[in-house]
Amino acid sequence: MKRRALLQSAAMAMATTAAARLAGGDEVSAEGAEPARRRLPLSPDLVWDKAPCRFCGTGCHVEVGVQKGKVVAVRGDLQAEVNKGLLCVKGYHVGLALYGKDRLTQPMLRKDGELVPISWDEAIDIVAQRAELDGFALYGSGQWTIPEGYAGNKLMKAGLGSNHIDPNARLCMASAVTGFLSVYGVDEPAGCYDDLDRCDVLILWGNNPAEMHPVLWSRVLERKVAGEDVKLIDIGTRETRSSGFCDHVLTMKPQGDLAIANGIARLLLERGTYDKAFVDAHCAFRAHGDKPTLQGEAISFEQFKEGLAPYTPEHVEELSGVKPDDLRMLADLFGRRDLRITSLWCMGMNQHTQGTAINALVHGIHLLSGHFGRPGDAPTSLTGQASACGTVSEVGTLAHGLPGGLLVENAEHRKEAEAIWNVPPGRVNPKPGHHTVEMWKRFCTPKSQGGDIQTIWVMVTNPGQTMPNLNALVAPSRKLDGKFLIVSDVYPTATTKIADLVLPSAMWVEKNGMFGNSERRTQQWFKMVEPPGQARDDAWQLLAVARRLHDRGHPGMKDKDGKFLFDVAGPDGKSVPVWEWEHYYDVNVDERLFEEYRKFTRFKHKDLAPYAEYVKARGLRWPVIQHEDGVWRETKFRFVEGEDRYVKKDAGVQFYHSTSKDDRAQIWLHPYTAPPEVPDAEFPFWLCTGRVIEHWHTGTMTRRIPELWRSMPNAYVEVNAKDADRLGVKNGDRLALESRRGKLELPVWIDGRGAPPQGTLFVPFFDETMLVNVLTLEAYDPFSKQPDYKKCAVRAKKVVST
Amino acid sequence: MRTPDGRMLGVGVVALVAVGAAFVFVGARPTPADHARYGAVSAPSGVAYPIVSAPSYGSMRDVRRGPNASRYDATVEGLQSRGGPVFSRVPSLDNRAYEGAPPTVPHAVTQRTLDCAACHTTGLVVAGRVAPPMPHDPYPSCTQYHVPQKDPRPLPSDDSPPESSFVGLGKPAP
Repeated sequence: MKRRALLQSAAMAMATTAAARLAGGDEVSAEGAEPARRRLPLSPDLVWDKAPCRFCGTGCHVEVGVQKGKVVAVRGDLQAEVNKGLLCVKGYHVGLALYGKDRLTQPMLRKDGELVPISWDEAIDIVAQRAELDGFALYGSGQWTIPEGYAGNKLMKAGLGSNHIDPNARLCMASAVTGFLSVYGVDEPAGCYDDLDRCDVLILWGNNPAEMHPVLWSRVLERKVAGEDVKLIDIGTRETRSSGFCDHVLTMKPQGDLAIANGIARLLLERGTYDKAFVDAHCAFRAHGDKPTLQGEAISFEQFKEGLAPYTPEHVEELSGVKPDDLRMLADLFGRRDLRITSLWCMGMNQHTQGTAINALVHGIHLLSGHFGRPGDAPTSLTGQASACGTVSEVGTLAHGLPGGLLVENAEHRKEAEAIWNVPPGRVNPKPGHHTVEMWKRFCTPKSQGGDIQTIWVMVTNPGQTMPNLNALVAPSRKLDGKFLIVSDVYPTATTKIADLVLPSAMWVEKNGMFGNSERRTQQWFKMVEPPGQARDDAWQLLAVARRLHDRGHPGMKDKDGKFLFDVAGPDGKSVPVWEWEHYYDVNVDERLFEEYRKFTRFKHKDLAPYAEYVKARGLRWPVIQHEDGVWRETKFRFVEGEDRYVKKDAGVQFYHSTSKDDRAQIWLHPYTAPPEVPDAEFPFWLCTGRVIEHWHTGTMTRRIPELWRSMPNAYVEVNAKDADRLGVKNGDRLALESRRGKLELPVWIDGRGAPPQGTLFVPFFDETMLVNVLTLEAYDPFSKQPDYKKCAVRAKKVVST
Repeated sequence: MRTPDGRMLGVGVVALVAVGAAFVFVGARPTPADHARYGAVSAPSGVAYPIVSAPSYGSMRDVRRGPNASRYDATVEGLQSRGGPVFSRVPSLDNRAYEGAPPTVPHAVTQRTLDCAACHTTGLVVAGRVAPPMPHDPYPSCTQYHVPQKDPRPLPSDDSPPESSFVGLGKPAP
């Protein structure tokens, strides 16, 4: 196979490197082993400082080169464990994201249809007035920094007594969270990226890390190149760049993952190759009762086995299209104790109307086969956004959540939150707010017809491009009286273009910040350059609105002692007016917010270290525990004795947040169910949406980076060659796609970046000039409320130019 | 051996190219400092870059059918007339955003199966154009770091490239 040959050639070249160095081609350090790496700045006024990359959830660290107040260079951080000095093409160009010519630099208000400049003072006044009215919602982001998300959550829940706050991560990783909760009783992966260095088998479940998490993919490929025997298996609905490197490519029908996972479990039981000792000691079985709940109801092993009976390899083939031999191959691997198996997934399993179920099923086959807890044996979900875990899952910026994994519905949890916030009992509203799809649906519904959301303040995200079924969930609000859209962002976007009030934000190293990546790693950086014009930190915007509400007499903006909710004392003990921009950086507001937030993290064993520890580190993975010697140490593998300090002695493995309260994880029975919309005679194609390596999400930053834009300027529709023949289109022709919800024309790309099977089309969502979400379906998972962007039905017709 | 799309590849050829790397210095991941080391505009006097005898590219039928087919054809011609490629590093900031940035690629790139190592493991001079050797350890998934430039990009666009006020390290101020 070609990929083999390339890997081999790369390995041979690597092997010859040492010889080349000794032959005098390279500098050799005193030890003679590694070439001396000169890291000196090229120019005396060039200063380097660390930051996590602005883009994806991998959480690479970069070093940012600043000269004369501008970012001029970026390099991979050799001290960072995540990326070990390497970056992807987005990371290498992240510094350019600050310098698009059309940065937003002043607040703007829509007057007579036009956005016109106003002062920050007026802008803050307008936001505060809207926040005093009913139906005010905050729509946040997995790209909020941790302190920003914490400030937003506190403003809403401790200040306004409202739970109408939800983040874009609802569209991104909510099903991973509900999967973790239903299986372990607590969210986020037990394993970490170290598993990638140790696994013998890596299974990609609807995942394309060569484009979406490139540096993690490199970490695995490097092992292959070095001659290690790592088997890569791709299970997906189309061939991707990642497939090209895999030993097995299993193309499945959309939704087939449910059948595949059940088929593996059934074979493990039939052959007796499941890990009986692990299951007996650490697992219990669950299924939905008459009324489905996230926790489900206990079932017996026999009931579990009976429930799996239909999933013979032949039946699995009918449902998924995956050949019985391939299913047996997967079951063979899971049945072997001598191998270590890591599963990776991201949007393929999360953007799924059965997202909670498929997440639980993949955890389930790892538990059933005992492929859990040893380094390299891990079911691991990856996140798409830089701080989806840090700011959403951990800070709890969700309609039902409180910081630290606490819940608004739980009276004890509310009490704890009110104590930390020092607000009167009853301040936290026990009723969950509207989740994302519901929030936008109600924003698009007249007040008289139950549309109880009148204002949405959008921060660090672009729902005008990312919401599913845009024609139903965003557009109608723009024609309704009384609906007011506020957007804080750094560039004009599909959302700022339809906003009533636009607030210019500082981004990335123009402000202090903290992110939390996919492997529980909390990261910190300092402000390095000034934001352009009047652009200001999102955290400042939140604090300024809180203070304005306080000054206007809003009772929620004071704590029990009558102090401002976000009071920040300076070194002299006196309050610093951080709501005034000129004083915002008199103290490190990030540190103050983080230290307060940190108190929440002990409840669910997600302990974070003091801020100062993160300044020193390239991130630390929680729980971070202070050991007897005073050193704060991170945790690589949770629930495992010797690694996780919360596991009791001699337990081996302990699921200490078990939903069954007996330290057991739940292996779920989730039957296959068909997707809500499948192709038919009228709409005969599957449509899948996704991403490309060049662009990060809606492209608002990466489409302003010339190098990335030139490589991938616009969206396209990937068409199978046979379908293209039938449709009479060739590369570059335009195809009109139509779903039951909308229409869109796109240029055709056959045998391009990916290769969909016959009957499937793929469109990336990065391009604001071709909004694919006018086509997508808003149907969502019943528990996570996450919509499915990966499968809906469309028809396609060649556009004939006249 | 057969690729997923059913094409054949001369595995031995690629391996031969790799063997040739024995005499080419392959450094670590690029850093600005490293890059400066590689980055002399012309070879410093007194440094003789090694010349490696060329593998036969006559059998590279597979790669020759890809988007770089014309270049590979020229390669064969070039090799036949010259007897072997001369290695040269072409340091240039023209195709980098700043000192130390990964260069963009001035030719078309296959989208899924990557052939970069065939020419860039040791480097080639082809009909007056240079395929520079990788100045770093080889990574198999090259397009994770390097993207094509404007002309060879796969999709045309009616839009103009974005305007940027970024001034990269080592680049002249506008």
